[in-house]
Amino acid sequence: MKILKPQWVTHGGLSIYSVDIHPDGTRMATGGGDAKIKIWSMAPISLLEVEEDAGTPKLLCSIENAHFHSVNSVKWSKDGKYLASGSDDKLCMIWGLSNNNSLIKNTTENWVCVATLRGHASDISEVSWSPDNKYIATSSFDKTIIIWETNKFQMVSKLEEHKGFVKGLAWDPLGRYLASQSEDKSLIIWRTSDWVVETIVTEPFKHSGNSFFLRPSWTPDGQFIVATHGINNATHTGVLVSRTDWDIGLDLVGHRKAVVVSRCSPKIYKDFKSRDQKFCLILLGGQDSTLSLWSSSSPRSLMVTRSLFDQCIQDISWCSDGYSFVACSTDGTVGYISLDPEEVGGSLIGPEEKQIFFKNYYGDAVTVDKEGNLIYGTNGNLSSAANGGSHAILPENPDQLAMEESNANGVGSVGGTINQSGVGGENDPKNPNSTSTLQPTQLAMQNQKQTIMPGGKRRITPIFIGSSSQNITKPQPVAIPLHLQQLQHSSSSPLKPMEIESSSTTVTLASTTTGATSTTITPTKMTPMVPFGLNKLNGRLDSAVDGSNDRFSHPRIRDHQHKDSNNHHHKSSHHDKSDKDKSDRDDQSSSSRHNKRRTVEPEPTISITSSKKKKSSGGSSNKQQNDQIQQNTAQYINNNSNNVIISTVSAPGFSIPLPTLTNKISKKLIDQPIQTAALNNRLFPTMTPNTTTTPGIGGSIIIDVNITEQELQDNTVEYFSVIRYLSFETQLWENRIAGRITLITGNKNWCAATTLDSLLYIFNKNGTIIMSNIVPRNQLSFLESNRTNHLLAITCDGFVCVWNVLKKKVELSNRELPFLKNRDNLTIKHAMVTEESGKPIITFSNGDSFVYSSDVGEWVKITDRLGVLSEYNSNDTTNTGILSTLQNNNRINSIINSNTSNINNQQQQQQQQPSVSNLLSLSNSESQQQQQLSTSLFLEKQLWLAQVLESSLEYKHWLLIYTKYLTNCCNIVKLTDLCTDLLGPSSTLNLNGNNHHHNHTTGMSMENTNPFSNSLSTPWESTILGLSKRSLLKEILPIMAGNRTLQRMVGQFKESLNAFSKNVLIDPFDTLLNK
Amino acid sequence: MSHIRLTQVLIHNNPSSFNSPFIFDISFECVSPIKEDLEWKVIYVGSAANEKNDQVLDSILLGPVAVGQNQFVFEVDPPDANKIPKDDLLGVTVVFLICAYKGEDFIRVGYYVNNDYFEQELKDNPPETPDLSKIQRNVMDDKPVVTGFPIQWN
Repeated sequence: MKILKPQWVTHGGLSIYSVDIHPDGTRMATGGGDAKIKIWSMAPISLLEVEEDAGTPKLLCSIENAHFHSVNSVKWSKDGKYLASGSDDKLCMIWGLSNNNSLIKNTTENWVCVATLRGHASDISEVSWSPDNKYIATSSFDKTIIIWETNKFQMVSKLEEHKGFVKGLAWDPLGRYLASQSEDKSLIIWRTSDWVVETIVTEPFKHSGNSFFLRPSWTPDGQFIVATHGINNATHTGVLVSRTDWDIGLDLVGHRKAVVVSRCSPKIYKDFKSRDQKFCLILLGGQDSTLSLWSSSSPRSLMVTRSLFDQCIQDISWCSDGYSFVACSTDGTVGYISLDPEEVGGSLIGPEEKQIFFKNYYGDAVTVDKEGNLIYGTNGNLSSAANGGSHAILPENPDQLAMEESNANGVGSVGGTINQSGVGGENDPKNPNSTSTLQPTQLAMQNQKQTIMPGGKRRITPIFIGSSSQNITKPQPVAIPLHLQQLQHSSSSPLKPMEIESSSTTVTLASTTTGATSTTITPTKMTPMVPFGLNKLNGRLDSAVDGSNDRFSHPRIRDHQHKDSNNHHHKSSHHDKSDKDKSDRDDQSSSSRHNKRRTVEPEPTISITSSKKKKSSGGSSNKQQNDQIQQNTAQYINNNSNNVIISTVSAPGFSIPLPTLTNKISKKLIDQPIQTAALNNRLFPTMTPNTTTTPGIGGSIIIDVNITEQELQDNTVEYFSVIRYLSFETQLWENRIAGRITLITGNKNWCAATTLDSLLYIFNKNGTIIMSNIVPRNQLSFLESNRTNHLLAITCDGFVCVWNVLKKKVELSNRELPFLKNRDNLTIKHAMVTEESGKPIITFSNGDSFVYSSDVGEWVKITDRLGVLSEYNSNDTTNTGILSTLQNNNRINSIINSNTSNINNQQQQQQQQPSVSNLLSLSNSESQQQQQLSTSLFLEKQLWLAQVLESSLEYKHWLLIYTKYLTNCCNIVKLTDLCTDLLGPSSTLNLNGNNHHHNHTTGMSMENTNPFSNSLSTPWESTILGLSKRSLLKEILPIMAGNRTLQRMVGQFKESLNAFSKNVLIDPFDTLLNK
Repeated sequence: MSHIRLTQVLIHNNPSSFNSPFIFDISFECVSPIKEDLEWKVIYVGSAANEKNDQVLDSILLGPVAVGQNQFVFEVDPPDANKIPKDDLLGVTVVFLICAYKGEDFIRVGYYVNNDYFEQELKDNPPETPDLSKIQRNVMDDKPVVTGFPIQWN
């Protein structure tokens, strides 16, 4: 046994109120009456040689100007990443280890404040982390306990039951309960699942007495709470309260004054003598300044220290090795005691034994992993804490259990995209940004702006370097010099030899979000619709690894600007370069060529001032050239300032540029799945331009148009267009029509062309006219087709028509484009028609997409800017449905918009839409509840949009996500709605007012408002987008079963589902007749 | 310390002659948004005995402050030697860098400053009237004393 009192651990002579050893055992924190938090290295305490070594720092960090009153409680989080401190100044602060250098030099570790928890109205007596690190509880003299979640440190719940100062807290190691002791002579046990009081124990505490704190603790097996301040026949005791029924068990008698703190060792031991017997160690500290050590296998205390301290003991902390501990006292000192296994009477148990041990007590409810740590609920699901264990929600029928099991197994199959951010999930540290390095004065002086205020004072605007770069990392065990490392014993000293310094330099990326190293931009021959960040990040990762550190260590501000200008030049030169490449390649392969730009002949221009010119400048025209127009759905923005708009109808506000006039048009029609190719383009722009991805086999059809002039006798010029239909270089047919063709489109069945004077022709694949001489209301700007039957035309004044070519009928006639703010500044980026039903989908240059639904009779907006506020958003790149493509484009576009505007700060006058980064920052500050609301709304919207777009796969996908989300939030109302809708009426035969209420009303709470009871209401449709609603219901029920609190509802629906499905097939009159 | 956290203070041109300006290169981090400007001032303690001899070398407003890391350079004039009692001119004194929000000081960084003659000869036999051009000023920037004060931030 070693007993040491390090004299140098001191808080200026003032009381030390709290001590806690870090889980890795190499450092400890103390909080004292001097309002400081000090972090010490353990090695000099436990090993004499290290103590004497002048080179090893003893005090790692002293957190000074943080709290303004005594620090009452310091606790490390269970994963060792954070330190929480509670003080008389009503604040609890969370500290993390930062890689940055401290303002005060010569501190070994720089602990910075990560969060400040404000909420209490009075002194905080104790802070305590939950065993799974999801929560932290603070108890205060304001009679309340506040529970905070550790993700964003938001308040979760306030527990107000105590009638007096709450003086101590302890979490159940199994995570189900929280115990708190108060000056009101009670010990309250709270249930963590719903924060309801489980029980109040008052019996043993019926006496008066006063101490600063009353700190209880739980035994590591969860079987007992060791409460303090007990009294039994006028003797002071520590009270054991057992878990089953909260009975008062044994008393630990011996202290001459009140027991103030009890701490159980975190380990379980097995007895030397009888190997099967397991025991725990309990330490009690009293106002009589004595410490007593108890073992649950022995009726008498193992050890009592009387003279270690002069005054009341305030806190004790076990080291994670289970054999040593530290105690602190009001007399301002700490004492360290280290024991041998023989003295303790047993050795630690291993993980397997621990598993068996827990299984004996708790069955399957508690599991232990390989290292002997308890495993807590998955997915941060609150309700999982309620599953199992005593006083928890029990499964009420075997179906529920079966569904839970299948749910647990099938979680993976539902998709890895689901549940990316569970409720209360552990948060990753903020993205490590660069460490702040020296900024030469000159740059700062140059760049900081200085003005003179009216009062004559100078006003400086600081330079913004970057977002918070706290760089919080998990602390490594404290390093000690090598020559001292050999002195470690495995049993008494917890240190491990470390080669890595605790404050190692880390390679980090530059913090600027824009600006990339110009040397390593991977050349994209695609459009700049490329996700900006994706591309640049690749580039910068390379350069960071390359070790071109001068880029980062040098004045970043200069680099920033420098890079930006580089970026610009590079970008534009890039385009030129790629154009050439492209056209070269085009020449080589016999695919279509886009020489439009090159062969434009200047037209005599008559510009009408009423026409509003598009803002698209040379920049966008560059874009065109890079487009891969190898698929017939990719559209390009046409820009030709030479063109003339002659409209017969006055432009109602929309003006879309007409196609440029050229003499040669060429378009390739291929049979390739549209969506994956387009998706590939947008998501993986770094792929080499896919001239090779278009298969040569199967349907390589090219339409060539040649325009010729002919001068007639009266000196007017007449145009003729020759259309050639080529397949694999052989011409299938040729047609010559009068007029100057401006647009062509088509698929393998037919093709369409429109001329300058607004005549529309449609030919079939053999060149025969299907429809012709169609004259839309105005000249056409867009002509698109899907792969089967539909043709879409958009006039230059913004009217959309869709025809079904097969039926030779109109699907949508002259529908004006929807309302858009700033329509002057927008162009149509993309227009297409859906496959099945020929719904037009228009995407604008700001990223918004609209689809016209004839059922609704209006345009439906597909993209939702504010979707970023929800926990899920459409950043779902594994989904390849049409809904996600469109929404992805929006996101990409808005990221680009925001990034380009970051670069071009000067041009950033009107940014009509808040950039994604702004919205994202908004989302970070939103409360959990607001997020929940946004999310469920968002998901519901997605379901509706999937319906409108008739994408059944995506509908199902979102339905599953929605269900899972609602299950997590326990939103019974919405889930009931959903299930009711999917379930439908009891019998699909009762459309005529015969309300057969077979099992209609079993337990369903909505009998009165049954939507299907009235036969005059619209009949329930049993399918949605081709999926049977009832089978969808069947699929989502197991998901809902994952939350046991919903089991009753799930059970009811399951019953009904079974019953109803049978009813559908059986004619009820059959059974009557057969009786 | 709650909304603003000082991460680094560099003092350029140190040591330098007595009459040269102080150049503070200050980096700080704004943890939560603040609406008003910060006020920074530098105070030179003329005489340890008497607060009246404290000279405010300069005071500026800093704003607007964005959330995240910020940096600026604060250059202030040297103290007026005439206002310093002769006896206290040489030797160790203190200079403070103080930041205030809404008129309340919330952080004060103090540095010891040592004023002494360059030349050994003058050190031994200091002249009656101190010769400012020959006095070297050395700020002990490796040992700042940081004091925080709780204030109302909103």
